[in-house]
Amino acid sequence: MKVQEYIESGILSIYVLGIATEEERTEVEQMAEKYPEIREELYSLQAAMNEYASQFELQPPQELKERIMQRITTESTQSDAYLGTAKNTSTIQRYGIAATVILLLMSLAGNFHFYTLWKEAERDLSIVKAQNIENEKKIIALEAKYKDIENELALVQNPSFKITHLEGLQDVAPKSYATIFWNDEKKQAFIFTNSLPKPPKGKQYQLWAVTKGDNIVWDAGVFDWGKLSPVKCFEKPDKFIITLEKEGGVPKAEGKAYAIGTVKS
Amino acid sequence: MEKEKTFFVESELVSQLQQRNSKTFGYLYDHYAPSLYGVIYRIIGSEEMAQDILQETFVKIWNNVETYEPSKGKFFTWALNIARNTAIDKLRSKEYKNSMQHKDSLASKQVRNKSNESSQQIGEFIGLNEVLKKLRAEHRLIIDMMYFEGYTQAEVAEKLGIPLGTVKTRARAALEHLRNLLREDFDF
Repeated sequence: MKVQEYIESGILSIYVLGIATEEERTEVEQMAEKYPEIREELYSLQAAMNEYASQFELQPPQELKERIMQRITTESTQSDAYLGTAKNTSTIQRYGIAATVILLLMSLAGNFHFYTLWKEAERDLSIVKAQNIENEKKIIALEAKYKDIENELALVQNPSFKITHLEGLQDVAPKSYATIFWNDEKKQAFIFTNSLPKPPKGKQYQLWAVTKGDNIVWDAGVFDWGKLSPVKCFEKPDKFIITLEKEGGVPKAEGKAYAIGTVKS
Repeated sequence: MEKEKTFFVESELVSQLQQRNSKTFGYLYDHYAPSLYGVIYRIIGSEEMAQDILQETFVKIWNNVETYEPSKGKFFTWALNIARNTAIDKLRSKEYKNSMQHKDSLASKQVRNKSNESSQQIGEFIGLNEVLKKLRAEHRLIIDMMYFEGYTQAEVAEKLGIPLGTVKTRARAALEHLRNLLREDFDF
C-alpha cells in the first residue's frame, strides 16, 4: 500500500528530526493533509520527539523572563505606533479622515473594552476551573490522611495495643523514630514510620522481630513508608529492628539497620 | 500522555496569544522556557548565547503566532521547532564559528563531544529518565546528530559511512525505538 510504504520510507522521521529538505517538508505536509494515517503517524512521532527534547529541560536564569516580557511589550507598542502614522493628504481630506478615525477609534475603544472584559472573564473562569480541580484533589488527599490519623489515634487509645518506640540509629537516621502498635490477643501489629528518611526508589523498609534473647529473628515483612501499615505479628518479641532492603523485601536482612527498639515487658 | 504544558486548552492558549495577551505569554514562558532553553543549550553549548537565542525564540513566537497551523501539530511542537531552528541557524553562522575559535567554552566542549560519550554517561550527566538510558547508543547518536547538531542527510551519511539512501530508514529505526521506550512509560 502506498501510504504504508510512505510511512516506512522514514521520511516522516527526517521531517520530525528537522533535517528534511524544503521539498521534502512540503511533500510531507501535503501527504499528512491528504492521508489521516500519515497524519497520525506524524503526530505520534512529534509527541515522542517532544518528550525526548523535554528530557533536557534546563531552568533559564530568572531575570531572562523579565527581559523577554519587556521586549514583547515594547514590540507591540512599536507596531501600534506604526499603524498610527498618516500620509500627506489635502486639508479637507485630512479633516474627513480625522473625523472618521476619531469615530472609528471611539467605536474600537468601546469594542475593545467589552472584548477585554469578556476575555478576562473567560480567562478567570478557566483559572477558577483549574483551581477547583486542584482543590478537589487536595480534599481527597486530606481525607485519606485524616482517615490514617483517625486509625492511628484509635490504636493509641486502645489499651490492648502495646506501643513500642524504635529509635533511629545515629549514623543513618539520627533523631528519627518509628512506632509499633502490637496486640497480643488478636495477633495484630501496625507500624508508623514517617519520621525515618523516605526510602529511595526501588527500596523499602523491612521490619524484623527478635525473640528469646536475640536467638531467633523473624521477618515481619516490608511496609509502606509514611502511613500506618500492617506488619506480621509474632509471639512476644523482645526487640524490633528496621532495615532498608530492596523493594519487596528479602528473606534475610542484607541492608543497613535504620532503627531499633526494645519491647517493654 | 504528553506532558501537560499548561492548564489552558491549547486552542485557547493560542487564541489568547493571538490577541496579544501578555499574561498568557507569561504563562507560556513559564511552561515552555525550560524545555526550549534545554534544547537550545544542548545545541549551542554556551549559556550566554542560549539566553539570547531563547529571547529571540520567544519574540518570534510572539510575532508569528498567527502563522501557527494546528493541523501541522501541537503548539509545543511548533514552538520547539522555532527554538531548535533558531539555535541551529546560529550554530551555522559565521558569528558562532568565530566566537568558538576565540572562546574555549567548557560547556560547549561537553556538549559538542557528546557523540563520543556512551549514552550511560550522558544519562547521568543530565539526569535523564530511566527510559532514555535504555535508548541504544547508535539510535541516540543518530537522533542527536540530526536534532541537536543539525547535520544534513548527506553529512549524516558521510559521518556514519552509510549510503545516503539508508539515512531515512536509520532515522526511522531510531525514532521507532525511542517511541517504543516512551510508550512503556507514557501513552501516545
